Amino acid sequence: MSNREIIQKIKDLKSFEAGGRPSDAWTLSNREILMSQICPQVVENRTTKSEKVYYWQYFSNVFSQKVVRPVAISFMVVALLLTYNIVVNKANASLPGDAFYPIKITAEKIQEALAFSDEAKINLIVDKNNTRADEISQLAMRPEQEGQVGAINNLTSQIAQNSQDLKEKLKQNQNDPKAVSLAATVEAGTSQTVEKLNSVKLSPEIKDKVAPALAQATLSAKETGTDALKVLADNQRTSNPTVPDTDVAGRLNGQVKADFESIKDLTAKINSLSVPAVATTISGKETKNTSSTIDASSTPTKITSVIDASTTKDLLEKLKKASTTLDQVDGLLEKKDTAGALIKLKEADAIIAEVSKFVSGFSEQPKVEVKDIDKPVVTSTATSTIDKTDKDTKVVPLASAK
Amino acid sequence: MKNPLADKILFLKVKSQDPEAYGRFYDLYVNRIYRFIFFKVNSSAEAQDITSEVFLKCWQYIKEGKEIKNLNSFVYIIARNKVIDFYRQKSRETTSSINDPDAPEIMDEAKDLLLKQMQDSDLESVLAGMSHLKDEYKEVVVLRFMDELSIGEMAEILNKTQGSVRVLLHRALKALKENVNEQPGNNTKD
Repeated sequence: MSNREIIQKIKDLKSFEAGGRPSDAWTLSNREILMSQICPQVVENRTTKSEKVYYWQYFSNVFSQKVVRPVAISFMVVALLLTYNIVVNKANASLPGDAFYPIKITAEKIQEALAFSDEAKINLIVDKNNTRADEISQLAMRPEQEGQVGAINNLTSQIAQNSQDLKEKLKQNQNDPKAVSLAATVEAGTSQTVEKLNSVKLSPEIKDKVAPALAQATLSAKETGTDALKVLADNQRTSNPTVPDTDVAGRLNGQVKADFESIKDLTAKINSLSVPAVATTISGKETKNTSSTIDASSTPTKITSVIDASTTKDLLEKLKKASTTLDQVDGLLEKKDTAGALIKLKEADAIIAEVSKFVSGFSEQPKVEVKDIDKPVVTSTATSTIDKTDKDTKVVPLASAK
Repeated sequence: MKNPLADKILFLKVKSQDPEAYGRFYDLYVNRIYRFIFFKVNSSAEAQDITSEVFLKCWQYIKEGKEIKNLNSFVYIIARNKVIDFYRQKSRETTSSINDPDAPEIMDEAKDLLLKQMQDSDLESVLAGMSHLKDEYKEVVVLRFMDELSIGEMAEILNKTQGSVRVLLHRALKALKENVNEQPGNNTKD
């Protein structure tokens, strides 16, 4: 052999244990021992890594076995379904600001995108509105936190927008054979939404910040419901009505009842807010709130004062008028004049909405008994309480106000 | 050593007492050090023990903050010293020594292993030829042709001048060639 051949053979020897190559097992175990001697922490980390590898190998082995494979796959499918259910439930129960809320919204958007017929879309919007109303009532029950007011106002504007969308859909489908069934769905859904919105209990801290928007959303939903009822009533006047009399009458009766409830609540609220005489200042400009008419469009936003006696009287008169109109609705329904009843119901709704919008701008003050001989029993904000409020509020004697 | 820059960075990390880096250093050097020791002690069990000791000792030096110019050579020097210690201890226990003619035929274990692993008469001849080399010849052959060290690095490890190392290497190769050609079936002379 030449020198070159010998050198090559020496190099070849390296790859054999006989040529001085240690076994892999020894190399690894010796490394572990060495690392444990020089730094126990490093070995701990390595062990965790090895364990991970071990578990992975274990699962690989399980899946490679023909008998175990179907069981393992079934187990995985069940685990996936369970996880999916947990996530969906969590998302459904979530509120704005929660980690799962974006999933809920994304799911809604996907459903909306997959709904092709107007019927399906209307059903989804109705469901969405009811979900938003539920979210508002749950959010309102939470203690005041950052972003809460913004979230509620956002939800109310969504309800208002959805109600408008429903209105549009009804209009688009008015000549469709399904118009009546769509209207029935919308009417049922919106009355549910209105009921939910009316039952929202706002804490005093956020009441004056969200009440106007909430009133607006309720009004929008109500208007949509009335429009749907109109479609049903119009159907009755046709030669071949598909909706029975009793159905429309029943729905109208439901709305009348809800309106009476609203009147009752508003009356109680107005009484609680009224004082013997109060001059309120809107946006820094002093005005005497003695006018007999109230412009709903100029709903005060910064007012923290209470309502003066003449305004109270005016508001109560309006509510009385609404109540009388609702009585007329009852009368017309007895005569089976659903169209006339609907017109009157709209009138009553408009009055209630006007009063509601005005009243929602006021926040209730702590009540103390006011001794006033002119008013028999008035529980209202004491003058001392008003003194403590901001500069925009002034209390003036009844005589000077007049 | 394929990437000198990466190795330099690794050595710096090792010198700064980074255990993870020392783990990587171990991965790079364990085979070489084991082989270097194995050809000196002719037993895989002994080679394993001494290799373990070498890496532990090296880390202890690093931890003590002693100045290490070249970690590459340094670990070989520790290995060399450990082998010397091993033989010193062994000579106290038995009368046998490295060059004891009564010592058991070196590379017996290696020969058995080789025969089990492959049927290559040339490799067997080379292995047998190496087994009959003087210890200092074996050392230079392993360092130069197996571990592929430079003459400078070898000189540092063996504590000799580069000229001496060249001469030693030349003689070792010549002796190995003679030994190989003396093996049965390898009588060809170049």
